[in-house]
Amino acid sequence: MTRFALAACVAWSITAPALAAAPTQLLPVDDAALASVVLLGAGPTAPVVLVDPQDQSAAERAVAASSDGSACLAGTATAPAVRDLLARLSGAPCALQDDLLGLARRFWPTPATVVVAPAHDYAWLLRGAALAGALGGALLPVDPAHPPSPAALADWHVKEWIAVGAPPPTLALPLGATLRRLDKPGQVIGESVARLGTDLSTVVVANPADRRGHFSPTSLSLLAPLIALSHHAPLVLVSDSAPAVIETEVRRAIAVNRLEPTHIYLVGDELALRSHRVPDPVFAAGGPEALGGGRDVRVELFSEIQEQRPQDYAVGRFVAEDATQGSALLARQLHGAPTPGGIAVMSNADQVFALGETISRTTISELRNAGLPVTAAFRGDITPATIQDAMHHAAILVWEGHARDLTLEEGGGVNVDRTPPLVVLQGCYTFDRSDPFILFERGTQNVVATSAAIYSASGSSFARAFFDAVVYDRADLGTAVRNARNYLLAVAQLKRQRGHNDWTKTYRAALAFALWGDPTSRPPLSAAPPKLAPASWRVGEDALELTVPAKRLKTATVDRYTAHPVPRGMLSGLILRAGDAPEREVKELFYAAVAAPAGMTAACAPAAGWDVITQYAAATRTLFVLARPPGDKPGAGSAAGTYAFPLVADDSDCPRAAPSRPATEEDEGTDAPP
Amino acid sequence: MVGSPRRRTRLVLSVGAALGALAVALPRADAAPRDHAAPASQWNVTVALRVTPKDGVPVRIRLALPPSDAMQRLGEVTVTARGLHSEVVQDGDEPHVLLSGTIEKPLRVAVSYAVARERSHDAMPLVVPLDAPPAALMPFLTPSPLFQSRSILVRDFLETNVSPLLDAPGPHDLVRGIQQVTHDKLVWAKDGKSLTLDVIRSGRAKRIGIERAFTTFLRCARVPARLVEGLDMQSTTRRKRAFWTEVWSQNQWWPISASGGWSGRLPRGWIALARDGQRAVRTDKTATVTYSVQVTPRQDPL
Repeated sequence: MTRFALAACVAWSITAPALAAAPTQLLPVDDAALASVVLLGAGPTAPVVLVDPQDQSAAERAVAASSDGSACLAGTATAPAVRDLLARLSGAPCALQDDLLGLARRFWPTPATVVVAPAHDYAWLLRGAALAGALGGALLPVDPAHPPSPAALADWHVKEWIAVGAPPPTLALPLGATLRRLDKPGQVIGESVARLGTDLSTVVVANPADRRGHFSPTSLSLLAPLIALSHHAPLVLVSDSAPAVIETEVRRAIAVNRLEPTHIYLVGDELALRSHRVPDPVFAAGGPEALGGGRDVRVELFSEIQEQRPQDYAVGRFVAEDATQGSALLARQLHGAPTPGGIAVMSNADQVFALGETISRTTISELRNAGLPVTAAFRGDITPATIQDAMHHAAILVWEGHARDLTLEEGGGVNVDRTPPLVVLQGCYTFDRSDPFILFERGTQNVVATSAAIYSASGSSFARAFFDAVVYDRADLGTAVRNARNYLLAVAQLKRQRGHNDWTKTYRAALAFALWGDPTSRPPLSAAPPKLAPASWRVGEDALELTVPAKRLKTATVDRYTAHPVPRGMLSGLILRAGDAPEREVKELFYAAVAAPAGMTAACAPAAGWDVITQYAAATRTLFVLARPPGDKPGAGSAAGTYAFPLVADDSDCPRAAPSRPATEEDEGTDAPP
Repeated sequence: MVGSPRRRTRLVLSVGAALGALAVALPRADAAPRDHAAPASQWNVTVALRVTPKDGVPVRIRLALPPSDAMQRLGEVTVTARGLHSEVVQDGDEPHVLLSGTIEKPLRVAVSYAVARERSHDAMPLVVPLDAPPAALMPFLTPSPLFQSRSILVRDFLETNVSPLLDAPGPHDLVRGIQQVTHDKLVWAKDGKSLTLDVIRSGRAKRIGIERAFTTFLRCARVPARLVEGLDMQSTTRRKRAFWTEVWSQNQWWPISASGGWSGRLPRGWIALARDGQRAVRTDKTATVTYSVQVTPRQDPL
């Protein structure tokens, strides 16, 4: 048994591809009205897979993963070939379903509310579906030219009817029934929020135009109402794919409805909901063009990091190549059965990133200190066989180093059948490759990756900060990615403040990382109490207290680099040297993301010699604090003890001494990008 | 394992539309002063290799020879490789010379062969995406490390640049649309990129990079496509390398080039050596090889 096979025996539990619960419902992707009703009616309790004849493999995989069989639905207008395909996949002829009223009544026999939406106005159909989900009511798509008769509705006992559209469909209701009409998108969101409550934590965003296009338009917006329902969230449909429009419209919806969300879940790929494109800060500062030819960085929506501000909301993006793959992915997220697995870390396969590997080794020690099962492979130990093994047995795969095809054969084709539910691809441009889509296709539910070239120290520091949030703060994935990006932003600002010209390398990494996946999902870690006590932060009324423990993690040494942080000590490309010796030690830092006490937006240094960067995220009232302790000689480490960081209303209230950069401190400098 | 092709396009093409109905601003092979009426040409080719071994590693070098097919014929092959074992494989789709052995210092090797080129095909027919490709074509539709056809950059490029052409009124030719956009948007540069995703990001590419990107775009659009590395007998460069793409239509492969802006008729004096991303000279990292190609017209029939 290999090292990665051993990982399967340990006690991590994460949602994996196998689908349980109820028969998988198959239906044609092109019938948006039918799909909307079935997704909303059956989706919360059973897998629903939208079948596209041009992507049969995804549907076949979903059916194969279903432990309770499958059934199919089709309309009489469904093309015979598609109907045959559905029947073949499910193993039985499809139930023909042209009567959406009958179908709605089957799913919701006694609904409190029925939302009536125009069947052929896609955006309004989505709004109607989201509203029905929020209200816990039924969705009834109708053809405005041929609405159901009062007689057909007579014995459906409904308290409230709401028609949405511009204009809403006209419906002749049974005597005594009343119909409210909502003809503005804002009204629909407002109605949803009124039911969900303003203390909701997530806003779901989609672009209904994602069904248009020639090259496999994804149509993921079709899934957005179910995603909103499953997240107890309102759905905001945006009118354009441009980032400025998206952010403006979503922020407006948040403000108008007085929401205070912490998470934003984008449903759509880069074509539907475009990221910000900002000039590569390294290149813009006169540095070299990134090896992969990129001169700009795609920065995830709602990041704010491109404005040198901390990311406020936790953001994730539901991405798939098409609605078939997307519906299969969503079914796994909602109904997947948990299976065990460990963490597999594969670092520095190309043997060129010693500094990054040093940091990576400390992350592994940190995870083990928390009692988590980790298998690790470095350098020459990373082979196609070990990669395959990790893919098949790990619950989390962490790849650190040169981007590499983890999923493709040289001659074409995919070489993995099963992939880990969470994959972290810490390398250059890892979102750009085919890998993320193949990972999603084969079972992965969340991918953390990059849209730019990443220097290894910054990339490995991100991974360390990410797992710090996941393990010690029990953060969900969106929050962990946010905190880790903000950590890099703080490090970049610290470096800049201390006169290091290479701060832009760290800044580029802060810009480039993002999450494709559910920002609210949380790996169910069964971490044990740490063997060695970690550094800890305590929030007081007027100060943050940092306690630095005495005992340190195992020393990591790779080539000339050494690191031996305390548990929860943070690392970066800042390194120390002693005299002219070639050896370098990675300087230990401390970082916290805490709820800010009322009125406090910054933390000051606890004593002379400390360098502190604080960031305040106003919407979520989160305070991010990066502290560089004194100590400029390798081997000394931070002194154990408790330190009080006074909290203030404004950063300018902190007594400020110009940071004195010792001659022994260096930046990652020539560390080449993966 | 061979995966299934990805659904990529919902194009409804005017299959019966005349070629070139799209307003393609590319030079076309049938419009250029090419060799469609030329008689078969033949040459003697000598590839001179300088092999530098890596410490203690047995050398293994594979030199592609022109495969015989409807367009070209491979004649006699001779190898001068004192100190290395040589094996000549002339049959099959991938004829080659395999050089192997252990050497301690740099060595010169010469491989000579005769090759003949027939007249080019007729004009390329309209090429349409395949909804249900046969298994044999799957390797030319699925992504691979060189052809990242499932990349978001690839689909973004197509949707952003090709879709507007396809949205225009009138009949459409998907392949020519992709060819035109690739030609227009990816600028040839001597110091440009050669890997597909790097090419898309930078917009500047060597010819091999443009053709790799073109092949990738076609695969994304469900058109079976493969890259070809060959020789341009008329080239004055040291290695005389030429790159183009082949697309599958009506049960045969058709040559087309986004970097050269031609289709259907392989330029005069071009012969194919290696396909689908394989290189003409492969070392498997066992040695460093530099080479040059010398060509002389041949009078005697093969």
